[in-house]
Amino acid sequence: MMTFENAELLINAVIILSSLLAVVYTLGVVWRVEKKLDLSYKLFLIAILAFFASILIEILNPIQDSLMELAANLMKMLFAVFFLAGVSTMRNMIRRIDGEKKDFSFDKFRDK
Amino acid sequence: MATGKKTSPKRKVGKIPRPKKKKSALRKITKWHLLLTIAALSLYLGLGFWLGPGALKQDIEGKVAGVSSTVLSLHIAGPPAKPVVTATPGCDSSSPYIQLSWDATNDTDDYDIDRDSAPLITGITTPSYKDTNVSANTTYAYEVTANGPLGNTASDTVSAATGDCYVPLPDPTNEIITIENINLTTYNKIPKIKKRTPTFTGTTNIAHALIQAELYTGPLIISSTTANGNGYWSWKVPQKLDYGSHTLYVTATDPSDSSRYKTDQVAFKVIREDEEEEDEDEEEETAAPALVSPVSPGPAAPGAAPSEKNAPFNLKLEIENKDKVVYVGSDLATKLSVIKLRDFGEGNDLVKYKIIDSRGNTVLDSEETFRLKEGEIYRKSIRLPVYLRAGRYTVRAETEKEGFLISAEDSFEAAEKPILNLGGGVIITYPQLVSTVGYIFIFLLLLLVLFLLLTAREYWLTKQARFFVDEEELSRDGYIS
Repeated sequence: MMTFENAELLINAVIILSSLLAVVYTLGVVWRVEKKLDLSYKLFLIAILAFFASILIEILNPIQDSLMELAANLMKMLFAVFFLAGVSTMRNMIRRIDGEKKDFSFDKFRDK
Repeated sequence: MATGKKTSPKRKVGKIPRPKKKKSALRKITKWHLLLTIAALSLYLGLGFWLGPGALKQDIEGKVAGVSSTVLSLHIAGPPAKPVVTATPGCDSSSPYIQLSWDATNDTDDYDIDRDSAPLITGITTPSYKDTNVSANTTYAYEVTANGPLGNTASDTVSAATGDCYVPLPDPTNEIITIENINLTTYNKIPKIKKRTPTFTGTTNIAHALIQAELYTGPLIISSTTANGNGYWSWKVPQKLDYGSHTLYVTATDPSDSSRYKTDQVAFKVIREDEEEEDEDEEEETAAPALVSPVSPGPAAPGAAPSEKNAPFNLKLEIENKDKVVYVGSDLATKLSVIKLRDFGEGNDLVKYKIIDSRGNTVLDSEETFRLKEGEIYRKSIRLPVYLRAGRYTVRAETEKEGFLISAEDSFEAAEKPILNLGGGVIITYPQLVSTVGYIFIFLLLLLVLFLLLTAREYWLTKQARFFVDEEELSRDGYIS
């Protein structure tokens, strides 16, 4: 029978393992892509690292020290900001490819 | 990174298929390693949930506990057998109670009962107890410990829920149960003790009652402490008593209603080491009830007219840390207040703070001068030294005023500072971390190896890549339109 305590432990384990896998796979993508795609994945990588750091800080703060809580929240904020930046970069890239936004170098490529 | 590779030949994905290559041994090993890791982890977690509540937690705690302490094997012959306890709820004139009973165990002097992991009553000799200090519709967990000359044995925890037979607050009760392990409920003589700082325990039906203890037979002492949620209280005389007869008055007052209080008293005698034999005959003759009429003025009842013979004030000490748990190396926050009993002259009063362990040893003391008066709150933080062992401690504040030793105390739990919170109640403290450093190192090493293997695999795949993908490439190949 599953209890809430078990569930919390399991959730933490899944979060840590998923975050580690996400770091590895994002790193792999960063190595293999170029230009804006590369930039957006770099931003995603920083966001995931910040998220992972926030989880680690929470684990290392069992007595709920206010400074450590602030650090964890700061990391969560960095995660949100870098994730947004990554999504925004990807969005701009798609809009440029679609011709919705001007990009001279890419237009030149499309004219060929 | 992909920089410097922009001139590499680019091929369209999907139009020219990659030649099929045989999977290398490293790739196969990596794949199987990953699959086995996932399978083992899934099996472990699956077993944990299948085995029942807390199985994972217990398993991990067991692994931690298995190496967290050095085990010294010492065989002690003849400890008491484990009491098999039954808890039966009932109602007595609309008042709920829980009847505990168990078979008497061999090699047993007396029994202690804990309710919800806190003492309920200690030193009882009969194998049953009726807990009347209960609320309606509430579940309580009990544990009975049999104490014998060769050890103690605790029963399994049994739970019982009271029914819906709650009535308005009962008349307050307060009874002094023991003095230095002499059970006063069955001892029908005036107890004689050799220890000059005896410990008294008792029980009241007022949860968290303010307990006021008074002695007027040398030295003059007025002291306060707090009963726990079960109404159990324990008080140790803070100063050596004179040899001779004494009468202790203990008043339990409801913290939320000062008109609800109950006073009990006990007469006792402090004797010298060599005095016992001489008094043996006299004791046989006495055979009188332990409770005698007070020879001293006795305590001023709450709300009663103050008397010049009584103490000028009493102190109240409270611990402000959350749940009264303080981590070693952190500050113990105390709050001291004055309960005025009669008029007194204000002046600079030296208040001594002492932290006392469960054996009665003072492990830390500190002083502060206050101008004590009613209505003021006096806060003091005491840093617990890092070498302090985890356990139950009492903090006592005491001062002298007009010939009275006035003291107040409260107890707290000193806990080792936790380092890691893995969730689900799995908390690892510093000593546990140090003692399980090997396990943790192996676990982290495995995690690191897994991480490095996966990263190496990603890097190897990158090296195998024929060209670097960018948005133009994706667009050209139709992945982004």
